[in-house]
Order: sequence, then structure tokens, then C-alpha cells
Amino acid sequence: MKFKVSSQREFTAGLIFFSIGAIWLASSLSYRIGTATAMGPGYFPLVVSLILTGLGIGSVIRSLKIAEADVLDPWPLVAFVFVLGGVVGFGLLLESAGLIAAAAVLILLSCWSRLRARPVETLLLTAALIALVSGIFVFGLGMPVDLY
Amino acid sequence: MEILEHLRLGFDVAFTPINFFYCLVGAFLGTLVGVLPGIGPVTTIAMLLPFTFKMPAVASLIMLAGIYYGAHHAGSTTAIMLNMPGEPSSIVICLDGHPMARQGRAGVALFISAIGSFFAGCVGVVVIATLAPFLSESSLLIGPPEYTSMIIMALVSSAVVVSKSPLTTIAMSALGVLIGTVGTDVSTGSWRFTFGSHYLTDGVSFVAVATGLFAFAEVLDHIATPAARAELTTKINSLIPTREDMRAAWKPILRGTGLGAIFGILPGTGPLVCSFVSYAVEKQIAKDPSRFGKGAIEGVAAPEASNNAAAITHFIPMLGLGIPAGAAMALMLGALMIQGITPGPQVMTGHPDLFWGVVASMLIGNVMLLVLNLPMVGLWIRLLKVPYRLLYPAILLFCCIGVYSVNSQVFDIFLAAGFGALGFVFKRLDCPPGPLVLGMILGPALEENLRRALLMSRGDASIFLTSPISLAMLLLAVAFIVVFARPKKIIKASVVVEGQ
Repeated sequence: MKFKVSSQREFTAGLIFFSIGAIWLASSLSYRIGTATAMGPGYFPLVVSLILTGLGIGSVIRSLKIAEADVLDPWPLVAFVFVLGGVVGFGLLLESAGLIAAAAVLILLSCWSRLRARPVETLLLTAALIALVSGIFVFGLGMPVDLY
Repeated sequence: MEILEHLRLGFDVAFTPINFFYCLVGAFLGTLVGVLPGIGPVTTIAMLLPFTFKMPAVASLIMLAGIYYGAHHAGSTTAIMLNMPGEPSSIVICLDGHPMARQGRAGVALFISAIGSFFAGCVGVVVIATLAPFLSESSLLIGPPEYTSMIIMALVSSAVVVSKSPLTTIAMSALGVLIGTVGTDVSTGSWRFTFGSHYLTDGVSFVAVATGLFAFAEVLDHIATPAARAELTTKINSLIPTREDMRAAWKPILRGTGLGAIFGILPGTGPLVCSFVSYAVEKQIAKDPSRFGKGAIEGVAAPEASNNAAAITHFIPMLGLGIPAGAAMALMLGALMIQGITPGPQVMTGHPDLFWGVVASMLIGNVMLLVLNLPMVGLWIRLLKVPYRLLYPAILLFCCIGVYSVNSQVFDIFLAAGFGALGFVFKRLDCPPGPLVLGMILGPALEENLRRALLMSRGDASIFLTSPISLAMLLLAVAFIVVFARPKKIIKASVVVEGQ
């Protein structure tokens, strides 16, 4: 990077806010704006996204000035992918393959890193949790979900 | 005797079997998650939010409040027994509570902290009952311009107090407000920001956002950075304090209660600040300040009383002005919105059973905590050893089912996963998710009132400055930015002084 960014956190946050604000700003313009007395659907989002964009720019500027250096920690990508992958997998399978398969995928994926080190514990945990939620939600509360 | 009338209504509501049951459930769950490692009240409330949909509003808020103070109470227990603050506001309790435990006086410390909390809770309820009539009268003075400024003040103040950088936290509120605009525009009926997806026409599901930002992001964070484990080394002997202990403790309890009650009413100052302040006050006025940090009973009694008093009187700014102290309370406001109750001065007049019922249940809950905690403290402490690797798959599974159960839409699960990723990124960037959630809760009301206010004034924005109440709210917002944009000196100073 060309500038000396002292606070990487604030710099990155500022960029995120700026980009989201800019996207929202652009799509606000595609709705009718209207006037202050007769606001269209685009008026309020336009004002707020202008504020957000401004705050994003402000954070970026501020991050260049902060005295104490603040470096980002490395990102734990593995945990990120497996946990959220498990959640997405649950969503994909729930209606097509049923609760048992979906729950198994969620738990096994999110515990992936320990599956080899502690296979028995992980499998027992999976079975116990599936039994527990099936008991509570499907049989107990009558949630309209197929088990398999 | 309007006050007694209100309190009687409150206890009538809180003692109905169903509410009593949910109060017990809340206090129990709160204590449980307060001692279980890696899961706190915020995650728990986010996880249970979907299941409060089918409950009556009063019962759901009573249960969520129970989780909040139950976890808080358990936080003090782990602070005393293990030197591990379960909640940020129990950091102060560690300072003298744990030394007391090492001197074999853990039981006394627990007892004093429980009695202090209970006493402070009772005083807090009386304070609320005295002030409430004024607040409900003031609701008549609040029109669209005043309400607009009030929401702006709430968003700004709750953002700047939690932040290292005021810019990024206010940006989080703004982002929350924008997320709140997704869906069908109320006054024109047209769809906005649905990005071509018909799933978003009813707006972004609040439960999905809360689950993602708090539960999923929390799990990710914990897996990435494993927390330190503590070993139980202290034992509990006697619970009953000696006469000397009581003599040393009753004045600090009174002072702490007074400070806490005042701090709680001020919007934006949470239990964290007031427990630090009351600790500092006790140390200032003590004859022998060197005892502090080595097991001074005043150092347990005063902060404990003050943050409990603050937690209760805080219901005035939270329900009356929509300003929550921290993420847990923001989620409780979200639960209220789901039930169709908008925070504002009208809550007390429009839903007296809710307001007074919840307040009364907090007292009942505090008694339950005494019964639940003191005799079984050893049992609870043992739960600290439950490994996180067994807990988080259960958290994930419950969250997924909960999110799905609200609308029976798989789309909401994907949405929650997306917000989980976003929340984790924001956590790493030191951007607190609380203001975002509050922005999402208050955003639609902000737009609606802004619209009406400008319609009233025929587009003249000076209406926000000519109405005295509105002007006062906006000035307060500016004052918050000015005061809190600087580093939090009070907290820093007291932490440095105690050498922790």
C-alpha cells in the first residue's frame, strides 16, 4: 500500500462502509426520490446512504492519522468456511433431505477439524443432538419439518 | 398512591403462573449460560428470539430479562470464585471478590454480592415507580419532530458509548437503518432494495440478522481464539457474614445503589461505567485505601449494588427512549418490536402490564437467583469445565432451526449465514454489532416520523430546531459525540489505578 495506514482496522471498516453506502446510494437513485413534503421511496435511503458513505470516507481519513499502529490479525479461514459451510449445507438439505440429514451435515462440517482426532465423541455428539432436536422440535413442538 | 397501584399491577402480572414460570426459566438459563464458557446472554437471547414469537409479549420479555440478569449474577459468581469475569461489568468484582475467596471468604463475598444486588434491585424498582408518571405525561408532548430527534439521539448515543472510534460505530447505526429500509415502503407500497428477490419483500428478518451477527459470529470468534481455562482452587466455607462484615458493607451498598440508580437513568451509561465509578468512590473515601485489591468487602458490595440498581433503572431510557445499554438490551428491544411494541414514552401508558410486570418480575427473579445460586454454587462452577467443542455444534443447530421456524423459509438460514460472515468481519474490525441492530429496529420509525414531521412543516427542516424538546434531544446527541469521542478516561483511569 502506498499510504502508511496506521489503523488497518479502521481503514478496512471505512472501505466497507464506503462501498455499501455507494451501492445503496446508486440503487436509491433508481427509486422515485420525491420532495421533502412528499417523499418517494428513495428519499430516506438516499439521505442515510449519503451519511454512511461520508462516515466511510471519514474513517479512512482518520485511519491514516491515528498514532498507534493497529494491525489486523490473520483470518481463520478454515473455521470460517467449515462453520458457515455447515449452516449453508443445513439450509440446502433441510427441505429436500429432511432434518436428520441436514443436522448431520451441519454438525459434522462444523466439527470437521476434530472428526479425525476424536471420531467417537463427535459421532456420539451428532447422534445425541439429532435425537434432542427431533424430540423437542418435531415431536414436542410439532414443527412442520420432515425428519428424513 | 399511584405508585403502589402500579407496583400491585406489576406483581399481579408477574405472579401469574405462566409469567412466574418464564421468569424461573429465564433466571435458570441465564445462570447456566453465565457459567458455561463461550456462551453469554447475548448469544442466548439471539438464539431464543425465534421461540419468543409464539409467546405473549410480557412472558417473552420477562424470560429474556431473566436471562440478562441471571447471566450477570453468574458472572459475579465466576468473578469471585475463579477470577474470571463472566460479563464485562463483573471485572470490578474480580478485584476484591477473588482475593476474598482466596482468604477462604468466598461464601461471604457471594452472600454480600447477592444481598447488595437484591437491595439495589428493590430501590431501583421504587425509583422507576416514582419517575414513571412524569415520563408517561411527557409522552403527550412527543410529536413526529420530537420523536425523530429522539431516535437520532438514541442511535448516536448508544453508538458512541461503546466505541473506540465514533465514526465507525455511528456508521454501524447508519448501516442498520439502511438494512431496515429493505422491503415494502410503508407509505408508497413499492418494493425497495429487494435485489430482485421476492423473499425480501417483507424486509430482512430481524431474527436472521440477530442470529448471524451475535450467535454465528460469536461461535466463529471463539473457535478462532480459544479462551483461557480456569481451575477452581477456592472453597466455600460459610455463607453468613459476620456482624463486622455487615457493618463494613451496608454503607457501600447504599452508596452503590444511589450511584447506580442515577447512572441507570442517564441514557447511554451502562452498568460497566457505574460499577467502575462506585468502586473508585469507595476507594476514595475509605480510611485505608490500601486494603482495596486485597479482599475489601466494600469493593464487592458497592459495585455489585450499583450495577444492579443501574440495570433496573435503565428500563426507563430503554423502554421510554429506545436507548439500550449494550447488545443484550438491544435484542430485547428487537423482541418487543417483533411483538409489535415500539419503544417510546407511550410504552408505559399503552402497555402498563408489560412495563410493570417486567419490573416486578426482576425482583422476583432476583429472589429466585438467591435460591438457585447460593446453595448450589459448587454445582454451577463445575459447569465451567464443559468444553466449548461440545457446546458450539448445539448452538449452531438450535440457531438454524430457530431461524427457519419463524417463516419456514430456508432463505432466512442463508441470510443468517451471510450476516454471520459480516458480523465476524466487523468483530475483527472492532465495529460493535449492537448499534447496527438498534438502527435496524428504530430505522423504520425514524423514516416514518421524519416523513410526518416534514409534512407538518411543509418541508421546512428548521422544525427540528424550533421545537424545544427536539432541540434538546439533538443537543444531547451532539454532547454525546463531544464527550465520548475522547478516550473513556474514567474507565481507563480506574483500570490503571487498580493495576489490572
